Amino acid sequence: MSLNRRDFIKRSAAIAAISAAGITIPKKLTASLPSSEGNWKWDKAVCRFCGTGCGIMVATKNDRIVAVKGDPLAPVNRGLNCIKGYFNAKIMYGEDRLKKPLLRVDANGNFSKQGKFKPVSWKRAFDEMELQIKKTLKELGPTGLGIFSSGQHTIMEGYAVSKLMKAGFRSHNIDPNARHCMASAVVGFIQTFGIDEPAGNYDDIELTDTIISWGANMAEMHPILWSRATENKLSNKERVKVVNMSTYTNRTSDLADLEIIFKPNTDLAIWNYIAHEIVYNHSEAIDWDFVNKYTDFATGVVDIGYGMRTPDHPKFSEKEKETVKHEVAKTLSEDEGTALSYLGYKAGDTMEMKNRKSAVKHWKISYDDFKKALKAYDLDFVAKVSKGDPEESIEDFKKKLKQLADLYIEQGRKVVSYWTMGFNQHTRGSWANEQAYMVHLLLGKQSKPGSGAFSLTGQPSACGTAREVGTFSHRLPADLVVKNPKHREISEKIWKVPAGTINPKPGSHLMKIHRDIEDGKIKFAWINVCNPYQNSANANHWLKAARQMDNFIVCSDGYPGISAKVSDLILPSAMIFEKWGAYGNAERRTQHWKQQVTPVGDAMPDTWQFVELAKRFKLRDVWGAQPIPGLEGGLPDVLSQAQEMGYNPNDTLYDVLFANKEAKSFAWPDPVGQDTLNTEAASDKRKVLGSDDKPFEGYGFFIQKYIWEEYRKFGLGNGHDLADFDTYHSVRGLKWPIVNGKETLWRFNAKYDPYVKKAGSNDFAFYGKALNKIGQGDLKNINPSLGKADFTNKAKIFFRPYMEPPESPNKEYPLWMCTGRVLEHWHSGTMTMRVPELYRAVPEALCYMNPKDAADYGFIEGDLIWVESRRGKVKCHVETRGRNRPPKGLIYVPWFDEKVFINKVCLDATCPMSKETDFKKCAVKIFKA
Amino acid sequence: MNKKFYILFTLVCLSFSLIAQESWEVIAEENDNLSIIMFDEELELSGQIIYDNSCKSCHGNPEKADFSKMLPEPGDIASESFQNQTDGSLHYKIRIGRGAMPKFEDALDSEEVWNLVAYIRSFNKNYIQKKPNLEGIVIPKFSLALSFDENIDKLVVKTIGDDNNPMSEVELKAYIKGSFGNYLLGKTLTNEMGIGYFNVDAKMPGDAEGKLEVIVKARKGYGSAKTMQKMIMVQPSTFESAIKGRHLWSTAKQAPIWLKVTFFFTIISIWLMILYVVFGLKKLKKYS
Amino acid sequence: MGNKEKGKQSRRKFLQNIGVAGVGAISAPAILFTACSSSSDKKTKVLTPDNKLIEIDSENGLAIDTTDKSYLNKIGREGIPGKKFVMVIDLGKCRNERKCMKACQSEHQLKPEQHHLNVLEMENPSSGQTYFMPKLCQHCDNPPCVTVCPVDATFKRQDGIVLVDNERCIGCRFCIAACPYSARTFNWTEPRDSEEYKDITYNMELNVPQKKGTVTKCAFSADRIREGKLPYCNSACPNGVYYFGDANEDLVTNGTTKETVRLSKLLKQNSAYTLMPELGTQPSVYYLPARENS
Repeated sequence: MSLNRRDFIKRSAAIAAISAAGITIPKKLTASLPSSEGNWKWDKAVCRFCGTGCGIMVATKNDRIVAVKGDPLAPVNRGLNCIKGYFNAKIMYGEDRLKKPLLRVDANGNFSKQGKFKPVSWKRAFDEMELQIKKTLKELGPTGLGIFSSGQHTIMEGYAVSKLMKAGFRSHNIDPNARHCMASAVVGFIQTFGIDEPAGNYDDIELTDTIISWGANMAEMHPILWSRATENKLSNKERVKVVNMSTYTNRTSDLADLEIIFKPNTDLAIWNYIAHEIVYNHSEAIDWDFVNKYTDFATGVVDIGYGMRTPDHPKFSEKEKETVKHEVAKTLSEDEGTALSYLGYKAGDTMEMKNRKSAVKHWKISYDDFKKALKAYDLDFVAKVSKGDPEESIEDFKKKLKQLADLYIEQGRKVVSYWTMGFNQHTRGSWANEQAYMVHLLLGKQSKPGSGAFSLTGQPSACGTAREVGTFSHRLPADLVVKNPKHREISEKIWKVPAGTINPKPGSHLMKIHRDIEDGKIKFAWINVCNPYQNSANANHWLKAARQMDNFIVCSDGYPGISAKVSDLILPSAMIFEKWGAYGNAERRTQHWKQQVTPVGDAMPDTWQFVELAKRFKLRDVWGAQPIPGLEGGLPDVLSQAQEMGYNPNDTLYDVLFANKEAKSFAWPDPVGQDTLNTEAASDKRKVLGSDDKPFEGYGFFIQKYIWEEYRKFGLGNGHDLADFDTYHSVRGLKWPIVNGKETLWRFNAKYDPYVKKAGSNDFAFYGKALNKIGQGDLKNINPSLGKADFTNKAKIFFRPYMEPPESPNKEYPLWMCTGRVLEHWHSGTMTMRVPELYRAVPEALCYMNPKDAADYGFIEGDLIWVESRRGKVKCHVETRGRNRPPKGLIYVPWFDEKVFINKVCLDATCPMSKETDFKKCAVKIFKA
Repeated sequence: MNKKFYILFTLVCLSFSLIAQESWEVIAEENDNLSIIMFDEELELSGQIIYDNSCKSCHGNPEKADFSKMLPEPGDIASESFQNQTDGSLHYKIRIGRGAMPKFEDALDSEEVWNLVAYIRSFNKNYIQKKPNLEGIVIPKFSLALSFDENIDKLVVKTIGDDNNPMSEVELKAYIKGSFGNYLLGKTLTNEMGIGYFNVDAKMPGDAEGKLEVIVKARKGYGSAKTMQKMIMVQPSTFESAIKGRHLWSTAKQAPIWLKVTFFFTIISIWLMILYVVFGLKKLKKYS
Repeated sequence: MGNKEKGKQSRRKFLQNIGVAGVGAISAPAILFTACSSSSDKKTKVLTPDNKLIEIDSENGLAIDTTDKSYLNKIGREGIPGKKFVMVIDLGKCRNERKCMKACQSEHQLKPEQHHLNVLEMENPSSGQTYFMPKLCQHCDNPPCVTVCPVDATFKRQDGIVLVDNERCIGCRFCIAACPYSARTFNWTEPRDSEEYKDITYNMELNVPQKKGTVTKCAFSADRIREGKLPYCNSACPNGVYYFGDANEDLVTNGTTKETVRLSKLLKQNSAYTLMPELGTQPSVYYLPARENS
């Protein structure tokens, strides 16, 4: 048989992957070490980077990590790592690793925003923080504080900061960078299933017949999962089909049988086309048994704006107002007129955004209404609207769309849809997520092995920390929400704080924290394990606010990124293997690791930083009556109740939240931590001068285990069951809910999920509790006379229409600009740019563009150009033959490079429901620099 | 032989004159353009100043036909070929230029060109200025507001009409003031929000505060407006004097120290030597 | 013994003489020093019309009489702060019209054979093409002529212009020898129309009236640029050859079309060059190359 070159390459790549993953390795590695690894100590750990959550083995020698390899026992990656994973050790030892706290001071040593950074002691740092927080509390109350939290925090850190902020300072202005990552997915889950996180797991990759990647460059962004997909594909070439749905050709297309290049935002239309095909032309494919028993139909409001501020905001420049004016009203284009015709709109109508503040409103509709709404989305309309490559013929494109629909519809074909940022970072991201479930639920291809819609997580612990611990402005642990008084009561009980401590009003989400700083509503902000001044769109506004306005910004990081440079106080933080921690990956697998080495310099773990700050605040400082703008009466005084509970108003938050009786019951040393460092519990050889200028001796108890065991209480019995601390150190992670010691592989499926039986079903039950009682109505609105519909144990099949983004290319700004990552670098490059090999591989962010576009503009490869939008401009070099090959009319610039600060150009429009920024679309013009 | 030569000569001369009088047609719309301001002595004087500065080098002194020897001939502005043209035609040709005649559209604004026309007409005794028919034509009145968008390095010009509504389709020209002339940043029309944008090169040197003086001229129909403002648009720059520091070529006060010291000691030592010699001689004389 | 006494006497006298000579030797350069130093900011020495040297308060002293020689002298020496004048000459446009020379000679009281500005016919050695090049004083940033002047009669000012103070010039002609561009000329005889110019106050910026026995050269029409007008040669040219402007502003204006362009862009896009750069004189005059077959 003849092998063409492409097949040969694919095959050899697959063979390499298979052989690497398939080697049998003895269980105890310590037994058979080669002589060169004499006194290396190997231990299991988790990769620092993406949401795949690969297991790695790290070797330490002389208190330094000297080697990293893939963990053969890890079910996720079976011994394989991607290029970033192999450098998990080198990221900690970069040249400019922060070692001492740095404060901006003037000539006299006093804090001054115009001052230069000078090393200070930890005590000075905490003194300044205490001063500034007390000043802000006095001036603005708890809403004047803000914390930029992270999906890369360990679970313990996330829990500690969340408890400190919500139970201690009583503020909900804590939001993670996961807001930029998974918020739309979360809204999709909660609205559809009533509970967060995917139903399936990574085994679906091997079990499925069809892998469809929507707006996700899996080959570069989830490389190990893609190796597994490649293996599946190449072992079953005829049966298994791979589809890449994208706005530009990328490396994922190399394996794909079918590549569909669509116009940005039209994924909404394409899903509706698939549903249209099912409903109108292949209604036999609808699994009516499944649909009638376990689902029902719903729709929501459409005039919800785009998550931007209104045009009358004083900080907008004139140019920006050209786009922002759509926030209050938009003239519908021709395509939108057809797409929204089911609501009575037509092209040229002005849609006033009346439901900006009530974007999540939704209600039940009948199947007939659902069918009626899909009428406009036939092949002709959708192909016309969504064809993304001007050079492709419409006939070819139509054929591809039909093929895509057929793959979904085909009886007996297992299909998994994967998506990450293409859907989530979208002004209608919540809708796109819901549409994925719509199709899978209609076909009954959900929650079954090899079949289901799988939302891939970007960050290593957006699931484990941000979503499950609830470090969001509107959430509490285990899917509890701030707004629900019963949920607050549960939290207050577990946290052992008086009733009424927790603020009933949700706080500011990440973009709102930036906007509040710009408006002077937040004057103290703490950045942890993220880089919000590089990762947030419309960066010029936030940079100015940070540097020019009266506020105090603290940045805890391992390296000086852009956020550190615009902050006022920089705290050196211990990095991943310098502390005990845990991450939860995309398939609900929670994995723990032990501290391997002492932190570098004077860096201290984030948990220590939060706990030390807690020592500075007494109950009387924070639990008295506090004003909250927008909350009538403010927060009540809970000091008297606290005294009844046995607390003293002079107790510190440390005493109450972190060093209470229960905490101290977790002794250190603990058998599970034998021969292991624990900086927080027992300090380390450096004996760093702590927040009281005395050598830190350790807390004396196993604080990480205490945090874990307390956190567990939230999820037990609620579908979020986690195992106890010690168990995780003997396994390679477990997928929650863990009931009776068994992990759950496919949720909502009675064969695998014990909660389904508890809900009283033998097949399926979507037992999520949130948003179960909603109104009923027709396509346009709720009809109050119809009463409430009950969605207990049912999922919702949403109808969502196609709408355009707020900023599309026009004559002045003729190109789409998309941003994202590259394989070799993680996020803002603070870690990976410090690894010489990774830096050499990709030293700068390039502007990937179509060679015909470059020729039209008169550029040649390597030319330095300006990329300018209404909000800012950056310079970058042109690349026409790179890994990403956009169609004409679109350019792609990755965001890992400080020197190419592309977020100055991006638009801070968000999905109004999830508040997640749409980084994938804005309009730019380019010209020679 | 002679005859042939003369015929050839005449033909050549004729052809020259033909070339010289090659017609320069102007479209009707421009031809009929008229100034809404009546020409008076003041305008003529302004026009004369502009003429002396910009036109005399080629067109020479009026009525003296001492224009430059170029082909086609610039011509004397007082001559018939000029005076027979309409006001609008003259205005157009000065603005747009052709060949060796530069286009003054960017260097002079419309009013200044009308002043030139006024000056040209001052040499025509029989000239009666035609008045434009302004019946039913509203002369737009508007004002300009300037600001600078530092995110994208653009000068933002907002035109607001008398009724406080934005005015679209206004022709805007923005200049940066220079010592000897104004540098044209660009020309644009305002959009429906009454705003026009001009790119500013961030590398242009500004003054010590980074300010540049901006002149914006606006025109719509017969209405016009102008504004000047100093705004911070670029990085501040400091300028060094060309004679900073000590050089060999500096004046004596700024001469290099080593030169001054050497000069001084050389003079001293020469004097000392002279004195030594003189006294030595005197001594000798005494002893002899 | 008598000798010894005489010796003692002569030694004492010798020492006394040395003292006197020493004082004289020191005071001579000292006088030179002070003579060279310019006046302080606050006070100005002015020569009254009846030859008395007085000091007045610079700000509110005598009302500034612009024909007052000492005032003209002061501003002539100081120049215009914050500016750095440059000229750009586009050789592609020059047609040997010589209107620039005519205007210059007429304004600066020069005879036809005296050139501040001369248009030379040059030949491109490789292509053989001839072109015309106006050559004038280059107002170098490292001027050899200023280095050699023994009396500080020629000097460079803070705006980059090199001027000649004919009141000081002693006619030694070192500067003419030093200038590699042959930009200077000498008044061997009475200047043109010297009777008519007799009563005009000497203005070194305009360089009028000329003086017999002194050196004269192009001054970038310092009097015109002080008023914000372009030099005489620039304005007289009909072909658009000259650009003049302030390098600190990065803008130059064309004398004929009055169009203002970015200096850096003009130089870069047209491959501008200076004359004899290898001499290290750093001229302030840039030439844009002649074009082929133009």
